[in-house]
Amino acid sequence: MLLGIPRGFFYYEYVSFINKLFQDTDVTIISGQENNESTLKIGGRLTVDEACLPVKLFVGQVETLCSQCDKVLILRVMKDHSGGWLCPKLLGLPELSSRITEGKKLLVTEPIYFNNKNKAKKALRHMFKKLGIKRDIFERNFEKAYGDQMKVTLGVKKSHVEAAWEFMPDPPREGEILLPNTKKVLVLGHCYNVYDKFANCDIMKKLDDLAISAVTGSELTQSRREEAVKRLDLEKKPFWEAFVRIVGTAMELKNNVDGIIYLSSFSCGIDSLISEILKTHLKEIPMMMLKLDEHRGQAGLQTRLEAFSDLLEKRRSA
Amino acid sequence: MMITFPHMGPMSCIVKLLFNEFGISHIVPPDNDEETLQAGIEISPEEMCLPFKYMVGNLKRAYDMGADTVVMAATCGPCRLGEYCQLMMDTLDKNGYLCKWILLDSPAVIGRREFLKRLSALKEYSVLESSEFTAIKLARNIFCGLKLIFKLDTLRTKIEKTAGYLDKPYEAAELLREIEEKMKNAENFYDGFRIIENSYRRLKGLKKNPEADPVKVLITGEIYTSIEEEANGRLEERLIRLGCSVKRHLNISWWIRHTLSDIIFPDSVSSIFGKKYGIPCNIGGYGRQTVSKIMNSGSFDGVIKIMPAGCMPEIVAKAFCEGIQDKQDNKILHLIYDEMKADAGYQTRIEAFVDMLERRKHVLAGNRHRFNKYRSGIGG
Repeated sequence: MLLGIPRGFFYYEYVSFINKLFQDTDVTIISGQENNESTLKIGGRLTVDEACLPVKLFVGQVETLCSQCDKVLILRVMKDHSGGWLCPKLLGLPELSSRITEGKKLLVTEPIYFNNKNKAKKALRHMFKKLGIKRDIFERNFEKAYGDQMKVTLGVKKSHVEAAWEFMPDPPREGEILLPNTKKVLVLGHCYNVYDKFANCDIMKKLDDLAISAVTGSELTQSRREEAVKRLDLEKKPFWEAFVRIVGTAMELKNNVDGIIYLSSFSCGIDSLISEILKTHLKEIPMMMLKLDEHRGQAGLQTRLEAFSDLLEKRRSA
Repeated sequence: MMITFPHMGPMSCIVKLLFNEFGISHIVPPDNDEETLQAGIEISPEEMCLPFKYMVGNLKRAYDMGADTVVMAATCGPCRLGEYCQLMMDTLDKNGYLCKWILLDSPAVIGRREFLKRLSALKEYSVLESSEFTAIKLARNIFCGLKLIFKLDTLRTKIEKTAGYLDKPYEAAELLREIEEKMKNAENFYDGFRIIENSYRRLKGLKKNPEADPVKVLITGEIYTSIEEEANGRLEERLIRLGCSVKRHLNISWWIRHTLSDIIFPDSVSSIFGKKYGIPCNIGGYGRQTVSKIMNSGSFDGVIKIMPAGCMPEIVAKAFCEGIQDKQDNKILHLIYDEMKADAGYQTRIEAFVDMLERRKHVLAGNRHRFNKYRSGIGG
């Protein structure tokens, strides 16, 4: 059976998890193609106007995959391993893509709470039963996949985090020789904005051309991020995983970089909050917000990046 | 030492009365209006949703009147509402409105002890001796508060439902405004109950039109815009004045009932009783309840679904509603509110929607009836 996994949202973090789950079964996994103009066009037609860019791309992916595969898998991840909530739009992904033409091909899992192993197992077992995969294979695969996924999410071991870097065009290597005055910029944002070349108009390449070395902070462990957030002494304990991930990374790395570029999709609810909190707590470091939406004009982006680069240069020489 | 709190429909009247009973010094911010919104927009981040801007406006105006402590309830769910207070603190602090905060998070998350500790901080603001805070007094007043809010919501629902059957529907709209005005000036719970009784009498006295067959409209959607009249441009009043019989799905008493029933009957239990939702899990806010309400809105002619711009759970609900519309042929009007208050635009859309429903109800449906009769006549 051909099982399609749309390249969007959970893909970037959970692709190795899904691959491991279906090991030694007769299910062949097909990842969606890299996003392109037509994905966006199809997605924009099939979902509501108010949805953000990643949602539209995701729905476009689902629709394209539906014509190639027997089933298309949508994970409904509610909480990740650290116990943080995901964005409400991610919780409602199957609903957002309910207008696709071949709705029967959607394979939607039950809500998965990754912080609770038994619950997660139960939710996935139902799906496997439906697919007719033997229970002992599932049990074995799940144990391994779950353990490895925990290491990816919480970043316990460096080698496991590197698995996430496969999406990076040019992963930062240890001992890499940088020119003495290379500017370092932290590219912040959700993984589906940072790793998706189409969504962010290939910002990594553009930064490379400007001789700026981009850091994403994906090598940080979850515990370090959490500590960094704790140091902020917020009144309210954050409940989104993205909050800890983004604010924690920024706080941890703010002294090692020259500037921050925040990639945010237009009308993203979580970003509207996080960016404000970052602005309050990061006064000494320049931060640029880049809004991503359907308008694919490259010139404006290029101008802003160049201006930002000049600004960093000036700050250095001053 | 003055306490204040953001508005949320009739809730502020009840909280005011409760604080009165316990002698807690407080300031109720001026009612939501254009000025409140303007005050909120000035300092709040551009991309935040409408309720945030209203609430910041409330707190800012209350601060100007002398308040220095904010009491606010908060959730810890996936929706943005849970993080409001953090951002509000930052925003107000940055602009020089330094307040003390008492956050009433849900006890399940912060622990019961911490919750009670935060709640007891309110005691410092009271003029009463601490020996006067007896359990009986506390229980009685909270019971009265709940009773008042339940009665008030029942009355409102009844008036809105009857409005379409009246000879002059605008009288119902006027009655609603009057109740609102009077509730604001109520001094204690007794006043509140008396107002409600009088209003029932007034409602009975209104002349009915025996031949009326009004259009029935269901209002559902995001909770703050539903409850706060100003935020939705007085949608119910507009509909009543157009001669509709209106039902609003979300109100404070619904919220209380829902919260309690969620504790007593979690999903696993309610599914045994055949309770079905379109969306199998909680997606934050009340998006899931909105969808299930729309799925079961067969007795209504049309549904108006409202939300503030950028509300995350309601966007999911909207996407799902399109599927329902295809399958069940419900008539749904989506109204999205933001800080641009273009009244004429909304009025036109609502009027057009009601006209369409009326036509469907009286012209098309009537013809279908005659058509069926004609057909059965031939068959017989």
